[in-house]
Amino acid sequence: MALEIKDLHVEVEGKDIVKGVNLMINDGEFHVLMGHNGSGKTTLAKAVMGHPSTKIKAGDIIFNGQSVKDLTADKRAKLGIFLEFQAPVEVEGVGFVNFLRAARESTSGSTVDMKQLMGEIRDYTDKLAIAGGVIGRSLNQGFSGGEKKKAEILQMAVLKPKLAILDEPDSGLDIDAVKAVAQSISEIYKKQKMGLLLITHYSRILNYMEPQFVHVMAGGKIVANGGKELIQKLEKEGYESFYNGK
Amino acid sequence: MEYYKSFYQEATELSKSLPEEQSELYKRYFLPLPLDQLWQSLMDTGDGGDAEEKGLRDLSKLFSENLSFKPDLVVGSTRHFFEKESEFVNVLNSDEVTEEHLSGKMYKSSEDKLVAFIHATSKKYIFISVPAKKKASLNVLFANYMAPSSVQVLVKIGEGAELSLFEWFASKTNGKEKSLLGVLHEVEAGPYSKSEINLVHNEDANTYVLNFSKTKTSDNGKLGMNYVYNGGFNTRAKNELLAEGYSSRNDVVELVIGSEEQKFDLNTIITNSGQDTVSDLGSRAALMDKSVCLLKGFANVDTDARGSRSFVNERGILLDKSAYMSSIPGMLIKNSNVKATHSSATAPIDEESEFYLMSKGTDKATARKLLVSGFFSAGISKMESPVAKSTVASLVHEKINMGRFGSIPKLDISNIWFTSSKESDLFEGHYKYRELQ
Repeated sequence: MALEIKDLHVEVEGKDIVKGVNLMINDGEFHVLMGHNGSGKTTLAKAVMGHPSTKIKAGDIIFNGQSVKDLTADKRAKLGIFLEFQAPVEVEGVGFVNFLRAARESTSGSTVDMKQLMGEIRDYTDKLAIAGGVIGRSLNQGFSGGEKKKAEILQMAVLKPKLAILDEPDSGLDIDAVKAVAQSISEIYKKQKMGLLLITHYSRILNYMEPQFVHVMAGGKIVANGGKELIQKLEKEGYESFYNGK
Repeated sequence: MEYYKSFYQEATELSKSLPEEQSELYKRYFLPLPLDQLWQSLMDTGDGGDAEEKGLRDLSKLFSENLSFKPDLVVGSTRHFFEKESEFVNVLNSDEVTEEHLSGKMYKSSEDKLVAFIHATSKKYIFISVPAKKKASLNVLFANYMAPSSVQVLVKIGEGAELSLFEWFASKTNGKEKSLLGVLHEVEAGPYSKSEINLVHNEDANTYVLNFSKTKTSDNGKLGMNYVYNGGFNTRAKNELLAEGYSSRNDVVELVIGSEEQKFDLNTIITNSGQDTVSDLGSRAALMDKSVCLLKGFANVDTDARGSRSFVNERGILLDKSAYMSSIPGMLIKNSNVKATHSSATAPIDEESEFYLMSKGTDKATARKLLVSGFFSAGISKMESPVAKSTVASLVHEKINMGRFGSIPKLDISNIWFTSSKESDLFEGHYKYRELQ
């Protein structure tokens, strides 16, 4: 088992956002979490990663048999959890490659072979159709919305996590880019045999992917679980039907 | 020197009426210096003799070994020598300097007590003169070697000439009595000249630092002045940069890296007096431990400076709760047909950025180091000289990663990302500089 979220209650700035979520993601499983704006998806992702703004009021987050709810974000990352940000932070003056080298050294605990790292970066730069100049800039600075998302996927490929939580990897992408990103995620997921939790509002990216489990979140809780058929139901009836408890 | 002594006494009397000496409010924005005590120690300094010369040669050797380039000129408290002769440089002892040498001097002793102090105590004068259309590159190592040191550097850059001047300020003190390294620059940048002067202060924690400069840029001239304040116990700086000629340009970078109980009192005044001139001051300070920085950038735009542009940007990061920074940007605009902006921001490390880096696996300490290195990289990237870039990057690395200053660091630029405005150079740029290792 990779990740087990047990009856998790999370508050942000004194407001209850996540209200008792249970979720289990085994190694190699592909889960999708869908829900309307404000349903608590991003807060859940941040809580799993240990964002300082999230306060766990009750419940637990178990990763590979170990409670991680009191660990700092870097320690969770070292255990193998990766979070792709919905809105990646622009970090002035920190080079993308320098950052990746530091992160890889930290997560792997060994010195990075720069030639090998550059090879991996170039490989995924091509697959994700990221312009070479983008990687040469400061981390996320001056990147377009799409470039930021692609750069996050590139980080996931290079850092090789055991579990990746992707928070809206499709937002801000054009039609072609959605396809390229979806294919790259699928390829990395299969190659690295990792667990995957993809958070999204829209089903478009899922046209190019094969998730095994789909969950719908509303009002801070998971209100429906199922397979790909849930996506079709959502397309047809919208989130409101779940929100109203149908 | 005798000539100037009277000015120091006179200026001391005059300065008693200045607001910073009188008003408790003003005193908050100036750091005190025990000038009289330092004055006495400078007066007591005799010739350092062969011991100083040997010490300076050892320092020069260490500098070359650690930073992979040799200084051309080494200047100590009482001795100096050339590692490589230069046709553009002349070094004189104070008793060799005549009024003719000092004709056209921009500084007057009566205008500032600290200027009068340096005038009165200078033991060495360095004259750098680059004739019209000539190109010169010069690296100078200064040190207050076992005695306080005070020096003046007078630079004249001819029409269409180019100068790249790199100066490193080091220390070798006895660790007991406080010492001083005072330097005063006067720079005249001629028409169509293009120059960059980098001053890197890395004195030890036993040294008071005085850094004064006045520059004047003529028609279509370009001058870059980069000040790096990393060393010293207590630094007082006042730099005045005048874009005088038509379409002249002054770019000023100030980087401050404070730790322990270091104090920095920095006053930089950029002035546009000519038409279509540009003055750009960018100051960045990162403060650790109990360090203190007063950052006082001021832009003057004169009546005749129609079409000019003037920018003052001050930014600070406080890395510890006990660090203190006061950022006081100011402007005086006397022409309405100009562009002028000033901005100031001081804050602790951005938590979102820190979390972002940590969420990818970097521990908190590494994340903070990356963020501080990144904070300085924008300033370092503005430096044109590869020597300045790489040495300052190494200095930042040494201070942030090892908490050390005052010694000559090993070249290490792996944590600095050199940015460039040229899209095509971006990807390879970093590795180009890495080759210097």
